[in-house]
Amino acid sequence: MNESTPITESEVQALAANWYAKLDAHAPVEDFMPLLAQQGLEMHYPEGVFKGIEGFQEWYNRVIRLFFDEHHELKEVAVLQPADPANATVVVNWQGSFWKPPEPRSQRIVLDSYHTWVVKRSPDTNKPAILKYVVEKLEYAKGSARL
Amino acid sequence: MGATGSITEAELRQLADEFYGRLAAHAPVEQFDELLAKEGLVMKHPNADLHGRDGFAQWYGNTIHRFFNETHTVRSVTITRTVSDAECEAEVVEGWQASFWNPPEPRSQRIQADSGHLWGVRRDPDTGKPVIVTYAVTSVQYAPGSARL
Repeated sequence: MNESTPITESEVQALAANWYAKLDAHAPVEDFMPLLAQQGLEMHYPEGVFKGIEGFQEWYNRVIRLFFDEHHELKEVAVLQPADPANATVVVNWQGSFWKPPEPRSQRIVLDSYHTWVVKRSPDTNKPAILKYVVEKLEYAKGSARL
Repeated sequence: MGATGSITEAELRQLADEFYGRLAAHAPVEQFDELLAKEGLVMKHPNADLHGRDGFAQWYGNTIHRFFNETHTVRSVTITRTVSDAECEAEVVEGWQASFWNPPEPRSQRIQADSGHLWGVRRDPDTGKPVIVTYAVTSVQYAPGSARL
């Protein structure tokens, strides 16, 4: 395998599954490094655009202190055409709780999140890594709390 | 002046329901004033002895910033000693469930426990209603699988 080997849908599926499992586990931020492009990373969340590894760390260190009891379930991963880099669409169902002390009750968010990803092989490992991650839209379930 | 005569278990039950209902609701601390003695209040929790309404307010402020999704269920109220028409001691057993979370851990934890208390209660001289004067946690029995304090 070399850098020009097209990235397949199954590879992106595995990357996404790995990515969301680590988010659920609030894994150490270092564990995400093999999944992220070390140069040129760009992540677009509803709360803002985060650039580079430092940007990801800033976002991640905030959300793991904001949400708990998270569960991500991949619903759909599609690669339009195998390539390197490859454009993918990812749909994930996310559930997460937050609590604002001293309110008596925590709140639960339940939504489907629609993304477009650009995935590129790492020059170090040759494995696919996220280069661009864009949250395109959020569809809240009935009764869900809001971000 | 409200009711007079010996404090009844029905009155104590109402006091316990109101006290624990307000704890579960994280009610404004001022709403506990009518349930707690103005003078001489002493509350003994497993990790703290509280004195006066100020002591309660400090403990309560910490508690409502630590626990959420609480339920308190009064299981029994039994008068164990009648001191006078206006004063008695009672055993109160309540079931408590509550969650807490230590960021950035991924999961919250849930406590489920039955706790026994010994309450000293007397009629408030102004309202005639029973108020808590002494409150001591005498036992905590965790349910299987419960998180621990």
